[in-house]
Amino acid sequence: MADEKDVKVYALSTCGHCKNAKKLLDKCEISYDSVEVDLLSGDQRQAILEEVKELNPRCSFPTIRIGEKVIVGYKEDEIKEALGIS
Amino acid sequence: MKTTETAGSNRLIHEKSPYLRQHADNPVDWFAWGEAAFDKAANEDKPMLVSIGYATCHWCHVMAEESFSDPETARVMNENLVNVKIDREERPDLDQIYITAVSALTGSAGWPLNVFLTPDGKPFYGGTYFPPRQSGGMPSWTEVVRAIGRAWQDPAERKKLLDSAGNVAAVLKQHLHDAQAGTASPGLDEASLEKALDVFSGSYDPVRGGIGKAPKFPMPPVLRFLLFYSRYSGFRSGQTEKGRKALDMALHTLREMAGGGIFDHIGGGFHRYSTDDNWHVPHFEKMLYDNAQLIEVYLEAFEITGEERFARTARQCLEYVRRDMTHPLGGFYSAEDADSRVLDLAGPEDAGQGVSKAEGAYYVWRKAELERVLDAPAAEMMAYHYGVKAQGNAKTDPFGEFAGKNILFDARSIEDTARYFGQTVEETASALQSARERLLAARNQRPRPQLDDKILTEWNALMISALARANRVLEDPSYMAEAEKGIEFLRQYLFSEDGHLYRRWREGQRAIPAMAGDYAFLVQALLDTYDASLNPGYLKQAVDLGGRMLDRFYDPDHGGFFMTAADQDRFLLFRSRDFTDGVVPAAGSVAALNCLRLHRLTGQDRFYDAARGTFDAAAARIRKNPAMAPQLLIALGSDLLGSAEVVIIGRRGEQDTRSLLHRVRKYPRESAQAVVVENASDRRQLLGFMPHVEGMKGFDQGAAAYVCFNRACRDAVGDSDALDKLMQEAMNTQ
Repeated sequence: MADEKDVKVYALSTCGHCKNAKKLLDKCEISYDSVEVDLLSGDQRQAILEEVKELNPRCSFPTIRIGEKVIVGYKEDEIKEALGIS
Repeated sequence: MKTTETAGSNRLIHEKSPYLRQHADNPVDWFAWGEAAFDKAANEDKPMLVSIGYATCHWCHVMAEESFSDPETARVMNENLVNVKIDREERPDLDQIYITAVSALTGSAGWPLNVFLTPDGKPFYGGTYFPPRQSGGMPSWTEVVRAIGRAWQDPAERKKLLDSAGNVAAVLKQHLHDAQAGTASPGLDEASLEKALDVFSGSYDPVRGGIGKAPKFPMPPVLRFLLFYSRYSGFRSGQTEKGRKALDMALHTLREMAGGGIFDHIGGGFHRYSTDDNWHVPHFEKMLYDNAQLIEVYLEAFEITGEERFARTARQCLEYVRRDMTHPLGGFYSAEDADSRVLDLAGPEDAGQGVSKAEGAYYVWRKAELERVLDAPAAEMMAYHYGVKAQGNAKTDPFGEFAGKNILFDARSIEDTARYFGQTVEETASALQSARERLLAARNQRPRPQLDDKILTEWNALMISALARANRVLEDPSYMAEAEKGIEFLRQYLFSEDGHLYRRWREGQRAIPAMAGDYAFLVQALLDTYDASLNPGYLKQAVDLGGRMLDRFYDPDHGGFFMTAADQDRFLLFRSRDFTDGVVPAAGSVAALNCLRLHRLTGQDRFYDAARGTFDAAAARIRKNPAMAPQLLIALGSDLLGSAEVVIIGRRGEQDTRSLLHRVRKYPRESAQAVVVENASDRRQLLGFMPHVEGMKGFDQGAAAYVCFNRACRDAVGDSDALDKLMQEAMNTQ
């Protein structure tokens, strides 16, 4: 799809809301990048945490970037709105 | 001993409800609610009388004695009617339908409730207490029965009755069954809480506390709402004027109640309500549901203020329930009567003693009795402290029952009493304590009020919640043991072998399929018991039972909960809803908070959707009548506030886990939930409904806390200050 947005999910492996958010994206057949920050270590982890902090200073998960929009938490309605599906 | 062979007993002798059994010797040919009564009404073409009350209801006893025990009255009733007795505590669903009917027909209603039905169960006329002889414009009971009988036999009159029944049934259905058509109107929001608070503030008694004028009921859902609101507004916007006002109203009311005659200063526990504005002259019955809920309210007040006095009142109520209201196997009895046979401990030893019954007889004292039981200094101190006078101390005495009698109340503060007798406060407290113990022992020579020893799931669950909270707040493990014994009792006696929950147990028999209230309060009790014990088995039961409650009682089409399941009773006019939080909150209001808590634990959206659906179904009614559902508004506030869900990986007994847990427990249960995973067994039990605990690990150096809030989670922290910071951030963020 031409207007498919770039979607990235920053998650924790231990976070149920992250799993639900990814499940929702799967259900809507959206392709996305995802990273489980707690499973990283060292510089890699630091680098990703910096990325998350820029989007969401509280650094809570899931932090979901959909195009230019950032959604914090598993907010089904907001996610769908940002994706342009209802 | 009565046997089923007793001449003159009717078929209520086979019932287990103490209230129904109180009518088993009546010459009235009573039926219990059910097929036999409906068959007889249809076969004999007679209207039905449904007469509803409860075991400890004073005016029910009066009418039973005056009218239902009278052979001539019974003859008239048997000739004209099919007569049905209902215990409202066993069947709150029927009670709700028929009391609403009488209220619609006559403008007021109460118990005893006497309502006349067509043979297919539709109400057409009713009232409450009727005198045996015409008095003050009130027709006598037999006149009413005869008039109904005549009208039924007259075709033109009967048509009128049937038309009336049709209209009443339609109105009832609209009022009690239908949800609001659509939810086009805006839903509930933060302003809904403020509006309710404004109503309570407007009718608050700033002098003696309490909402409204006498009779004053201790309304636990209102008190809880006020306490919740004060914490809620603190989280939302810092301490506000309104929040402070709510807290003051609740605390002042609790102090006044605990010092008044509505509290049993000798034996602990609260009586049902106060007949005067000063909480001094109570109606003396004691209900399990009042005491269970008030224990929680006093404990919450203690948590908020740290004032020892609130904890003491809670302990005295807990002691009362433990001593007088607990079945040896662990369940809790329902209530104690207001009246009992009079025995004057300083009176003559003659045959007149202990024969006649009087309101409060077990609880009130003549000054001479104090002087007989206690030594002179103790009697003097008790009289001074508790306001005991030779001429009696009841300022209001509408039925002339308390002449020369004293209802103990805190007439003086402990400091005043100490000063007056030139003693220290400690000496005075200890002297009063030992005098109270002697009076308690002496009082036990009197005949006890009748005990309503049926065991109801709904009310037992309230008591289990109270015990769980007592364990948590007072840090006394004996309360946990009682809570667990209570749950075990319900598991063993109120669940059938195939797992169905029932409402009532007595004398070895469980009966009446559980209603929404039984489910809602039991789910709440299981969640509360988990919070106190951290035994994951209770959480699993709460999730299972909460799911079954949705299946059986939730209305997926319009939102909200029905009181009864679809297959409850084929003689019910319709499945009614309860929107009003009375002395006991409505099932739906309790279920709404349960659903939020269950959603936070499991992430299952069906629980969250049910909570929202319950708010929406009640929205139009609450906008019209903002103070009708304070318990539901607590749930709403909890949703507006959000909740921190914390999973702690650590050992329950170790200091690191305990200090993390302590930080979570500073927050009310409406806004924080802690789950502890110690070992593989915990994890296995939790995984079924909390799959995300799978990857959670403790730190090498100790316990770890995983915090989620508002559907977003943080990486684990191990330090309790760091946890506290996350909790504070969470509670102050939207």
